[in-house]
Amino acid sequence: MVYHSSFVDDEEITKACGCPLLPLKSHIKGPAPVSEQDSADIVDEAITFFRANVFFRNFDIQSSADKLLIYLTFYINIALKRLEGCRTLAEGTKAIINLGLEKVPVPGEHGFPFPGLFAIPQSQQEAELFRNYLKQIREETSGRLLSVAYRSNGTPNKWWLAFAKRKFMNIIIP
Amino acid sequence: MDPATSRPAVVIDNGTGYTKMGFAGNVEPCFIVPTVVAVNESFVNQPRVSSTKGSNWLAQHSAGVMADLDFYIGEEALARSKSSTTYNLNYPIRHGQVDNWDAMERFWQQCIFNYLRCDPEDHYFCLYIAVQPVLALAAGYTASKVEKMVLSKVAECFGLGAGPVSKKNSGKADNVQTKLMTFDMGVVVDVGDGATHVVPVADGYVIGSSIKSIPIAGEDVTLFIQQLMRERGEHVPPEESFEVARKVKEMYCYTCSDIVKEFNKHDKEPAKYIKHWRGTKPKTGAPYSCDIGYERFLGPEVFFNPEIYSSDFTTPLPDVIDKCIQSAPIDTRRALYKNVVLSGGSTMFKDFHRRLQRDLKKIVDARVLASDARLGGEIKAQPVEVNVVSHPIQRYAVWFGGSVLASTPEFFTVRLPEAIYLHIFSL
Repeated sequence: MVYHSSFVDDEEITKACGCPLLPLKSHIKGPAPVSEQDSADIVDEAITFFRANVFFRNFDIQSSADKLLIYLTFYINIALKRLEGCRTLAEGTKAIINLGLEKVPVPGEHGFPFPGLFAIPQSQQEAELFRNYLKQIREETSGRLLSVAYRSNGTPNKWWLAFAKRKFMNIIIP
Repeated sequence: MDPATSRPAVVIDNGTGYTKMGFAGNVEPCFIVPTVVAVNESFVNQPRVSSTKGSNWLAQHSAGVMADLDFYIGEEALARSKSSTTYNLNYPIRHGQVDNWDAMERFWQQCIFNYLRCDPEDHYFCLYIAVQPVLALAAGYTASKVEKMVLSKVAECFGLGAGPVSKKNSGKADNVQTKLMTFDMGVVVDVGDGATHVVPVADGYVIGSSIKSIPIAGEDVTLFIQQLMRERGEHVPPEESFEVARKVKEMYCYTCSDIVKEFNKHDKEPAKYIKHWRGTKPKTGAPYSCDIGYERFLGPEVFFNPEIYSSDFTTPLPDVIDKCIQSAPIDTRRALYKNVVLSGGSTMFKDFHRRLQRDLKKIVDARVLASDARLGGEIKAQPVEVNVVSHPIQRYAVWFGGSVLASTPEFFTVRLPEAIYLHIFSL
């Protein structure tokens, strides 16, 4: 069974494209609200659940936070694929920065991986808000991913990088 | 007085992965060997020389005759095929069904003459050949084409042209019955290498229409482990990778309660959980070693979440057992839940029965809760007790059943002399 997000209560959180903009323990500038430092946020959840969830091809969505979880799981899969050839932490960081500089599509635009999962943004503002949130959460995820995907001496951790070959939801990454 | 009745009958259980053979009356089989034949193929392609060319022809002819006898089975076969290229491996049984009768015949020859060292004419035989579920044959003798062929082949193999051969259909019930002595109510979950079956038994009779089978079995676990190791880039020579995966499965796999927690445990204490496998390359003799990590618990997880392995089949084993029991007559269900018995090599994973019991209980409890809610909380249903039984002879339970069955005096009286008493799992 897939692992679902525990952030089911989203009454007071601003939503964009049908997805709650959950708080992050982040120092990066962006539209996300700040979360307390010792609790687990959605990025921690995504990384913890990644190695289990990546095996599944069907995901039943129990809350709108699950949509964000799916997006992050897919993003981690892409990131790992970029890290596949990098032998050191420095190379890996460079590859991830390149990934971050690429255009981040929002739902409705060509190139967004899960058409139909999120609602189309109603206005240009909503689209921009969501895009900035995605940028922030992607950067945050990359940072934490690098800390687990590479060991303390800078060599790749094969117990993580093996999952670059897995295809989450059978989606082939270009 | 028939001399054969004074000697113990021979019990052979031919499974997809392993064959268990021994004599009736024993607690465990004498030999458990992989069901594989290594045949010397180098003589097969020799051109037939029609003209007599003296010694040339003679040598070839005698080589051809010897080539027939030049084969090995079981562990020896695996060893020979690794050390030289003249032997080709042949797995006669795939997914519980006999594919290659020639190889099967040779296999039986070696079993009887080399391993058990007995004369087929001096013993009764109790043979188990797991056949793919066709139709549930309740009481009638409408032998399907497959069974007729099996019977005729076996009779041919052992040179028993005379004497009719008979078969009995409720093999599973007998087997299960003798296995637990007082078994007349319960569900047998037989997870072998080629196929998995869930068979409910009530009052000593198999409920044929409720039998369920799933296409996930031990071989799939091995393939999954092989895939995971390959993805990680472990240094295992490709021709050995399946065998290594199989040995890893048998030695190191265990059932976990929760995948994510298990991953965390592996991350926190790698020294405790990560095992090392050392082997030598067959061709060069150079040693290699590889690490074994999360496939230890992801392998057996395939039974509880088949989706992680293949998208063809997604119903977990506890769900299948539950569906099976729900399709049985309503008055038998509580008793069936109370007595779920495991059999087969692939149930030998550590804590398999506990995980199965936990998952099955979850499904059952959810159903009881839902029905309570529907009735408005006025009438509370009695909670259903779920019990998954595991016992030390799980691995060769089928063989054990045959052993006990063949040591009862009725076994001989029902049979005709020199006839093979065939037990087919015609499910």
